[in-house]
Amino acid sequence: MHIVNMNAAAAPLLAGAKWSFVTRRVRRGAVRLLDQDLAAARSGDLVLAEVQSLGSHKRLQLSDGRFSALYPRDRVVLACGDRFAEDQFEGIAVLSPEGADLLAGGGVIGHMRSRNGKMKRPTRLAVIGRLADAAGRVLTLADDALDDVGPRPARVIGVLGTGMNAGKTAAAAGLVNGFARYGARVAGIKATGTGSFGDVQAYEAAGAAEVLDFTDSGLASTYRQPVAQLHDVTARLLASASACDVAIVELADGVSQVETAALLRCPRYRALFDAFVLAAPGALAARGALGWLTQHADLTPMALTGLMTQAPLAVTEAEALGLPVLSREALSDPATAACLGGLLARHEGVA
Amino acid sequence: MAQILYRRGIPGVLPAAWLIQPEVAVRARPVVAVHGLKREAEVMARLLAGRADATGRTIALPIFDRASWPRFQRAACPQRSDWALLELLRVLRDEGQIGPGAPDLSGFSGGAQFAHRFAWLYPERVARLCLVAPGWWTFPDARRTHPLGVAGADGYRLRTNMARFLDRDIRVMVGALDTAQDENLRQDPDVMAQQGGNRVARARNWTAAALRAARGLGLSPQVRFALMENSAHSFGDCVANGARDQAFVPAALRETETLPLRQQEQIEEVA
Repeated sequence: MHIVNMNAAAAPLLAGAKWSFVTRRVRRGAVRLLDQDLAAARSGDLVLAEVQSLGSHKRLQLSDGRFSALYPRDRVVLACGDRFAEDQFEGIAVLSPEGADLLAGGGVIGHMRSRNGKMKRPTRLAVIGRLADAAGRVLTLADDALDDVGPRPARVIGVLGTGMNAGKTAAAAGLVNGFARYGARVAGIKATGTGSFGDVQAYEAAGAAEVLDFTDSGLASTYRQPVAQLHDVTARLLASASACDVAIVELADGVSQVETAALLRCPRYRALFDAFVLAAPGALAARGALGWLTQHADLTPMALTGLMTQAPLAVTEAEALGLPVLSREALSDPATAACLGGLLARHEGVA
Repeated sequence: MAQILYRRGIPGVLPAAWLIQPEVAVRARPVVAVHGLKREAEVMARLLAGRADATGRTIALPIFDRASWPRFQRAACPQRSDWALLELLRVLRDEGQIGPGAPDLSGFSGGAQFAHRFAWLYPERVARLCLVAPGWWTFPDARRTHPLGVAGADGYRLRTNMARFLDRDIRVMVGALDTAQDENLRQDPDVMAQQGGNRVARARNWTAAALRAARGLGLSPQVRFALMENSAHSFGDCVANGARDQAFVPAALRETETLPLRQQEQIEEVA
C-alpha cells in the first residue's frame, strides 16, 4: 500500500535542506509541492529525503561544489537514480515508503541491490516526497537540462578504461591540461557514470574552459538508460561545448560495462569522436581491452595510458602492444597536445 | 628607424626578450630569432634591426638565461625551454607586441638546435625555419634513439610530427670556415659517426637526411642548404660576409604566395 497524490506544500519541509551536486541546475523557485507517489518514481526525479542512519557515505557533495558532513535528521535534496560501481554499490531507481539508500555521494537515491565486500551498508534515508511544481507535476533533472547550442568542438577525444580505477580521470585531466597549455580552449566532459563532482572538478583544476557531465543533460546516472538517449546526451554536451576547440570526453567504467559497451558498438556514437585513448592499470588489462575494442567496436585507441604508466616495468610490457604509452605527465605536456592534435588533423584529412 | 625594446622576463617562467619593432610595420607573421650558447641576443638584435625596417616585420629575440635554461638548445630539456617560448609568444600576443599567426623561427648555433627541435615538437606553431650552424642535430632517423634520432618512447612525438615538420620551407646554412672542432661542438663518438666531424658536414648530412625523409613521406621538400663563403662560427660573419640576415629574417610572405619548389637544385646543393 502507498499513499497517492497527497501533495503537501514543499517550503516548510525543504527549509534548511542540503541540495546535492546533481541538483545544481534545478530552478528552486519552481518547487511548490511534494508528491508522495513513490511507486511512480523514475530516474531523474527530484527527491526530498531525511537521513536516518549514516553508512558508507558520511558526506554529501553539495550543489556549490563543497562537501557537507551528514548528520541524522539532515534534510537532503537528491535525484532518484541507478548506480553501477563495482567497488561500491549496484542500485536501481526505486523508492519506497520504508526508506531508500544514498547510492552516491553526488546525490543519488535509490535501492541498493548489491555492494562490494569492502563497503559498509549505504547511508539510509527516509523519503519525504518527490519535488513537484504548483500543478503537482513531479520535477526532474531533465527540466533544467542544457539546450543544444552549436556544433561540436573541432576535436573530440574519448577516454576509455578497462574498469573503475584504471586512471581514466587522471588521463582526461592530463589531456585537458596539455591542450589548455597548448593554447586551446578545452572542454572536459564526463559522458557516462553516476553524478559526482570529483571528475568535473578534476577537469576544471586542469584548466578546462568548460566542464560538463551527463547531469547537465538531465540524468542522475547513465546506468540502465537506453543507448539512444545516452547518444543524445553526449551529443548535447558536445553541442554545449561548441565554444571550445577540443573536448576531452571520459566514459565511465570499463569498455565492457553494459552501457559503455553498447555505446562503443554503435557506429553513430563512435562517430561523435575523432579518437580514443585507453587507460589501464596493467599491460594485461590493456591487452584484453584492446582485443575487446577490436572485436566489438573496430576501434584502436591512439594511445595507452592509466595507472600502469606509474610502473616502468608495466610500461615496457605495454609498449609491446604497439601503441604509444603516455603517462599523465606526458598527456599534460603541450608538446603531446601538439602531436595528438596533428594526428587527429591528419586522420581527418585522410577521411 | 626600428626600435629595439627590452622586455623583462620572470626567471624560470618567462624568458626576457629583445623586441625589434620596425618603423613601418606590415601585417605579417613575426620572426623569432634564437641566440646560441653564448646568449649574444643583444648583438643579434643590433645586427638584425635593419631587417626589421627592410621587411616591416617584428622580430622577437628570447633570452634563455644560463641559470634558468642551461640546456635550452634541447627544447624539451628538464627546464623546458619549449614551454618558455610558448609562454613568451602568448604573452607578446596578449600585449599586442606581435601579431597572430605562427612566427618564422630562426636560430644561430645552439639557437638553431633549439629551433629545429621546437618546430618539430610544435609544427603548427612555426612557419618557415632558418637554421644556421647548429653544433649537432636530431636526425629524422627511426633507427637511432632520441635525441640523435627519433626511435624509442621519447621520439614518439617527433615520429608522429615528422611530415608536418618537414613540410615547410627550411633553410640550412653554415659558414664555409666553420670547420673547427671547438669546445661547444659535441664530439662524442656517436655524434661524430652519425653526423660528421664539424658543423659543415653535419649541416650537409642533416639536410640530405631531411630531404630523403620528406621524399619518403611523399612530400615535395623545401629544405635548402647554403654554404656561406668567408664565414666562421660567428653570427656577425654570417651577416657581414654572407648577407644571411636576409634568410634569417626573410621578407614576409603574402598569404597567397606559395613557396618555390626547388628539389633538383636542393639535391645538387647538398651533393
